Amino acid sequence: MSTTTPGTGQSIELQIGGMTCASCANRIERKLNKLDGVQASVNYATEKATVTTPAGYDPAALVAEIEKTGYTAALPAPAATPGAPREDAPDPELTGLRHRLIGAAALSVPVIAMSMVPALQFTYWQWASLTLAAPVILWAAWPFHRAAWANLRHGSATMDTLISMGTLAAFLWSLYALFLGTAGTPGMTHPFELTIAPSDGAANIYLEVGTGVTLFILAGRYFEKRSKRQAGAALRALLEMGAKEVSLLRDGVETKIPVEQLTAGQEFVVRPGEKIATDGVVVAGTSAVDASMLTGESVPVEVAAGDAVAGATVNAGGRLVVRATRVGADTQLAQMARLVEQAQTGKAAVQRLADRISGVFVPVVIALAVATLGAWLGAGLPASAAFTAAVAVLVIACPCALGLATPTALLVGTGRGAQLGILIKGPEVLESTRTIDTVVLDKTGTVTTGRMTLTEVVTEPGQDRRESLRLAGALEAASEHPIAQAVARAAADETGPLPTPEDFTNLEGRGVHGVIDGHAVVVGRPSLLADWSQHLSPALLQAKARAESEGKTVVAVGWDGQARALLVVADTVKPTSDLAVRELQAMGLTPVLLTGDNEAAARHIAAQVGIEQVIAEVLPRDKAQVVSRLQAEGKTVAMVGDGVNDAPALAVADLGLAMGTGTDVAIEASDITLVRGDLRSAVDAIRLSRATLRTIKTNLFWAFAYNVAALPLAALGLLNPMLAGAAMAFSSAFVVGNSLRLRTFTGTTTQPTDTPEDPHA
Amino acid sequence: MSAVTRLALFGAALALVFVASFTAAGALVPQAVVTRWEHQGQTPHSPASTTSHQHGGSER
Repeated sequence: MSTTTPGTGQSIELQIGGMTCASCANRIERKLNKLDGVQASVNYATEKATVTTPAGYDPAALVAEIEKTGYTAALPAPAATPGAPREDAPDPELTGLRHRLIGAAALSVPVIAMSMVPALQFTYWQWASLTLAAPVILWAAWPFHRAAWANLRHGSATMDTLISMGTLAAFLWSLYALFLGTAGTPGMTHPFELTIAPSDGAANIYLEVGTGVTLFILAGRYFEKRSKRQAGAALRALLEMGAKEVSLLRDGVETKIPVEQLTAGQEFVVRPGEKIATDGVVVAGTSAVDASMLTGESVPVEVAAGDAVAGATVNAGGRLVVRATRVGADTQLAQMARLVEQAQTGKAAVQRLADRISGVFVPVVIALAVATLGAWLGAGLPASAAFTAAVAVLVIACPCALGLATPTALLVGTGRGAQLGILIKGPEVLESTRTIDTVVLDKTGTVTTGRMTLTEVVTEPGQDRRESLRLAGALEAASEHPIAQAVARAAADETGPLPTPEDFTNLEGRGVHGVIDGHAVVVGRPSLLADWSQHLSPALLQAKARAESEGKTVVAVGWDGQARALLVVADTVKPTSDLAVRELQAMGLTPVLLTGDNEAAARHIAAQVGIEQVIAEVLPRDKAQVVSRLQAEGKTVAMVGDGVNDAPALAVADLGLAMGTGTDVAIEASDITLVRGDLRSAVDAIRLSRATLRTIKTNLFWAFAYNVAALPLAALGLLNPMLAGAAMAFSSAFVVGNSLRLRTFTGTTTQPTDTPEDPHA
Repeated sequence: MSAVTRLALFGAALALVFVASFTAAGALVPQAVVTRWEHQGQTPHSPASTTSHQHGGSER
C-alpha cells in the first residue's frame, strides 16, 4: 500500500516475513536506510516496514534489498474498497510452523522412544532412527537453520544459531558414527545408564537430542506466534464504529445511501438514537449528542444550528439535519484510527530474553568446543577422541527447554489470568510490568460507572421527595436524553411504576413539560422553569451552586406554578475504585486521573478515590500526548481506559489495560483486557504479569542450567546419549512444572469487599 | 563494526583459544592420564556386543 505525499515522496508499507527477533527488524531497518532517499521503520511485533521514498521509487527495489538480507517482503494486498479494512488472511508463517510441528511430533516421538528405552532398540533401530530423524532435523528445523545463516552473515547469534548449531552437530556426528564409526553395527544398543564414564563417541548417536530439541522449540515458537497480537484488529474495530448508512437529504427528499458515498457539503438527516454519519455542522434542529465514546464526556452535549458534530457519536435527542464537512479518512474517527496504528507500529518490541542470552552463550560455547579440541590434541590424545569431545560440547549446549521457557509460563499465566478475568495479549508486554511506576486512569467508565445516576434530591421544605421524584420520572421517561433516563430509572426504582403523562412536550436542550395526575409539571433547566415563572428559592439556588461546583448536573422540577425540587445527576464512582487506587499506591505506583471531562467533575471524583494528580479537559489526541510526556520524564506508564478516546493512549502506554466493559477499540488497542470491569483487576493484572515474567526468567535459568552443568562432562569426553537425553528431559520437565506453579496465583478481586455492588454498574 | 570484521575478530579469538588450550594441556596434563585413557580405549570392544559403551566403571 502506498500513499503519495505531493512534492515530497511516497510512503510504502511492506509485509516482512522471516523475522525471529527485534534484532532482525533492526537489521532490515539499517539496510533499507542505507538506500538513497529511503527512510524506513521496521516493527517486529506487527511484521511491517513503513518506508518513505522519493516519488516514483520502485517498491521492488526495497523487496529485493530485504530478500538480500535474508528475509521476505511483499506489498500487502489492496483493500477491496477504499477505506475498507482488509479481511484477515491466514498467516502463511503460522500455517507452515504448524505443519512442521505436526511432522516433527510424528517423527520425533519414535526416535526419542527408541533412544531412551533399550527394550525398543531392535536390530537396525539406529538406521530407523536416522530415517525418521533426518526430515525432522533438516526440514522441520529449516527455519532455524535459515535464520542462523542470516545471523551468521551479519556476525550475530541468537537462539536460532544455538538450535541450528546443536541439532546439526548432533545429526552430523550421528552420521559419522553410523557410517564411519561403530554405531551402525547391527545389534548396537544404548543401555540405560546415567553413569559418568569415558565413552566411545564413534559408537554413540545423538539423534534423539536433535529431534527432541527441534520438536520442543517448534512447539514453543508455534504457541508464541499464535498469541502475537494483530495490530489490524484495533483499526478494524475503530472503523466499524462508524455508521454504515446515512439518510441523504436532497431537495427535501430523504434517500438511504451507504456512508461511503457521502461527500463533503451534502446534507443528511439524523434521527434520535441514530449515529451521526460523519463530521459535520448542524443545519437545522436541536438535540443532545452523546459523544462519550469519542470524547469521554459523560454529559451529553447540547447542539443547535451552527454547532459542529463528530461522526460516530449518537444523537440522543431530536431530529437533526447536518451538513457533512469531513468524510472518509479525514474524519475524527479516522484520525483516531491513524493515531492508534501509529502508536502500535511505533511500540518497540522487547528482544526476547532467550535471544539476548544466546547472543553471549553461543560464542562462549563455540570457544569452549575449540578449547576442548585444542586441549585434547595438546594432551596427545587421538584426533577422533578430540573431535568427539568438541562436538559433544556443541550437542549438549543446546538447551531443549529454551523454546518452552517463555510459552509455557505464558500459557499457564494467561490461562490463570483468564480465570480471574485478565486477558494478557502476548509476552512482549510482560517486561514493562516490572518497571511500571505510574498508572494513568481514565475517569468515565474506568474509575466511574460511566452512567448518569441520580445522586441527590433536594426539595423545598414541606415538599415530599417521593412525589417530586415520581412526577419528574414520569415525564422524563418519555425522553431519550441520558439525564432524563437516569431520573426515570431512579424514580421507577424508588416509587414503583410511573404514571403516563396525559400531555407531553419535549423542548430540545431545555427540558420537558406535561400533565400528570392533573398537575402541570415542568422538568428541565432552571431557566425553563423561570420562563414558566417558577423560580428557584435561595435554598435550592444554594444547592444548585454546590452541586455544579462538584461537576454535577442539576435538573429542576416544578408543578402547579412553583419550583419544588432539584434533582442532581452525576456519574458515580465504582464501589471498588477507591480500594483499587489504594492497592496501586501500596505497590508503589502513582495513580493519575486523566479525563476529557471538566476540571470540577474530575477533581471531585479524584478526591473520592484518593487520587492527587488530575489532568482534565483533555482531547482524545492529547491523551496520548500526556502519556508520551510522562514517558519522556522517565516514567514507565500503564494506562487504564475503556473508550474509543482512550485507544491512542492505551497503544502508546508501556502497558495498556482496557476495561472489558468498554469498547472493542480500546480492548484491541490495549495489552491486557480486564474482563470484569473492576479496577482492582488492574492491580491483579500487574501482579500476575510480574509473576509470569519471574517464572519465565526462572525457566530460562534452569533451561540452561542442566545443559551448562553437562558441559564439563562433554568436554571431558564423559557424555553419553542417555545423559544428554536425561538433561533434555529434566530441564523440560522442570520448566513445565515451574510454569504450572502460576496456577496458584490468587487475585484481590476474588476476595470479598465490604462495599455493596452498584446495581446500575 | 561490520559483520566481516566481527567474524574475523571472533575467528582470531578462537585461534587464540585453540593455541592457548593446546599449549596449556600439553604442559599440564600428565602422561599417565593419557596412557590410562589410551589403555581404556584398547579394552576389547566388539562391534557385535550388545553395548556400544565402554563401561568406565568396570575399569576404574
